[in-house]
Amino acid sequence: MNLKFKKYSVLPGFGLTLGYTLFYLGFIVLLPLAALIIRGSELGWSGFWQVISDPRVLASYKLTFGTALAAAIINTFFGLIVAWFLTRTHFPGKRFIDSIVDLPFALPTAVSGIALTAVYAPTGWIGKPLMDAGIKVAFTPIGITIAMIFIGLPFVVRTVQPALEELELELEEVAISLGASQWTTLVKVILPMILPSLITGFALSFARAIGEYGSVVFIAGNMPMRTEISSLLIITKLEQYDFLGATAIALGMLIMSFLLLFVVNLLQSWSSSRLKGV
Amino acid sequence: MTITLENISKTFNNFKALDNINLNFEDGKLTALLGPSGSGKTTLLRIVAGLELPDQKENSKILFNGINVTDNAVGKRQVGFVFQHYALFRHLSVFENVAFGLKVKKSIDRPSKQEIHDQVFELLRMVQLDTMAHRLPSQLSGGQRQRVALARALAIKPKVLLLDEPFGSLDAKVRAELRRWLRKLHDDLHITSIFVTHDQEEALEVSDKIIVMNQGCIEQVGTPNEVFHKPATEFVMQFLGDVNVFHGRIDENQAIYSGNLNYINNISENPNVKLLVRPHDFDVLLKVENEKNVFTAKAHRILTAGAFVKIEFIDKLNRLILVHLSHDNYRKTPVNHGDEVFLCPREHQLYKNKEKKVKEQDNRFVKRPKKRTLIKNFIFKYLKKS
Repeated sequence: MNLKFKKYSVLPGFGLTLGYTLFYLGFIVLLPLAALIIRGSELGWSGFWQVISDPRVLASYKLTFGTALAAAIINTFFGLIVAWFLTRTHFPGKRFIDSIVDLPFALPTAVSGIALTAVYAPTGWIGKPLMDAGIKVAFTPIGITIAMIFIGLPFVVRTVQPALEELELELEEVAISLGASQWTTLVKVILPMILPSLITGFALSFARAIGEYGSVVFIAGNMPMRTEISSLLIITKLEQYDFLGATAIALGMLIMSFLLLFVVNLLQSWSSSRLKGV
Repeated sequence: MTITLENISKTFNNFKALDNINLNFEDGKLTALLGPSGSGKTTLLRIVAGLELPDQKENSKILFNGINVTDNAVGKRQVGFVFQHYALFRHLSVFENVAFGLKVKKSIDRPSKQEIHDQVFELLRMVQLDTMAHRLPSQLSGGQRQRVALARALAIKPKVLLLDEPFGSLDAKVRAELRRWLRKLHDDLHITSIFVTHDQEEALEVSDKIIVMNQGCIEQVGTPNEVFHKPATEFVMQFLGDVNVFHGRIDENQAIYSGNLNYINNISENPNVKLLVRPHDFDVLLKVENEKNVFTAKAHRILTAGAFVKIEFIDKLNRLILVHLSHDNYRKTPVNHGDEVFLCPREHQLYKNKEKKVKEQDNRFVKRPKKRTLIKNFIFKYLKKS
């Protein structure tokens, strides 16, 4: 059998990088996940299903994926606006605003969780007026969504920004000279061009929100069936020494996340394949 | 449609890209804006299109058929603009690219689906791409992409067609082909067209009229014949092909060119002059009766491969003189390497030495964007990211 992975190339390091990549992915990523699957399989199919179909677990799944999806959608929209602002406008102090975008990356999640809770709690700066208006934010799914928006925003901005910077101004000029309005140009020319990075940004922000723990637990209130996210439920199981139960919930999350990201990646590669070349 | 520009200037951060331009583009003619890079030709084209605004001045105007369109936005001017790098919509097929201008029309003006289909295919047939309607731009060659861009611009039935270095990024053969094709297309459609180029050959071959630009000013406006045979300034002469430059001075109404002291022409005033002779305007003589009006030079390098024979001569002052001979003439006066012969200019142009131009150029370098700040910004950004 003649399997040829290596095409002739002047760039060195094929063997080294291939070996390192496989080792890295295998050791750091796949091994722990394999352990999860092996531990989880000890339960057997019925045991696994029993844990997963527990109403409390189902509710946590619904909450986690629902709020993460909402946060990712909102982030995609507003992240685009922020990225647009940062690439298209020039004014002194822009660099400062640019670096603020990265703050959620850098802050320990617990710190941001406490900060968000303080602000959005019924007695907080924003929480109080909202409470007066009849909207309860902290300790509800809305609060969870806000925390997830907070930690997911930089992902969208940082993936969309380079795409916007690379976009040739000529494309817009052509569109406008052909009689398109600014809105049509945005929808028919600019958005399709940056769609791949927009989808990537969405996927990253979504994935981060699904796995988020630190910044969510404080603002969530953690009421079973209502504001308890899956990550917290796993911790709870662990604290009760229910290792298998925790593993099963995690495995369920793993499978769902994997499927979702797989679909998103398919979408992403489909949308970018159209833009190749030229 | 006639296009008239009155007192148009454009300044970018103190850099004067255009300096009080007054021009008239005739109806139905193909006009070339010719000049080196940085001469302001693209800026001028973009101002005509409305993609760039001229400096706000009371008397500066852009007139289309006598109507002031200075304040009209790009979309309202009905211009077809073709970019050097095609600027095709990568996510749309060839058909969709060409149909774009029709599909974005307001619903009242928009043709029906069938009409759009018919119009697009008519255009695609015209640019000989009707068999490729469903391909993506990435599946086309450079020449095909530029033809799509042209069809797309023509789809909105523009009153003016503006082309910014349309053949600039194509290889020589495709370029020559597309050039002829563009001329033919223009002869069929008669749309008032302006195209920007830095390639003198292209301008001479394709256009009805050439506007030669340099440093934001117009050097000459004329037919290809006029600008080639009667260049108004030294710059035009230099830009439109190879030239031999001889420096001289005026003495007692005669221009004297150092070296073998050739008296060439009568001219008054200004002591310093330049004599410019095109390589093909030399006669090569093996012997002469007196050495007046000729340069004595030695053949240094002879290239016979090509449409004409190119000979490099070195004269007594070690100046390089370029001479182009037809193969016929070369056979009549066969010159071998090292032969000393006499070169007699049949035609020449005399220009006074100008100091002004040089100064202007110096200004430009001072006022260009500062590279140092750019680098500083980059380093800041890099440090922040890592």
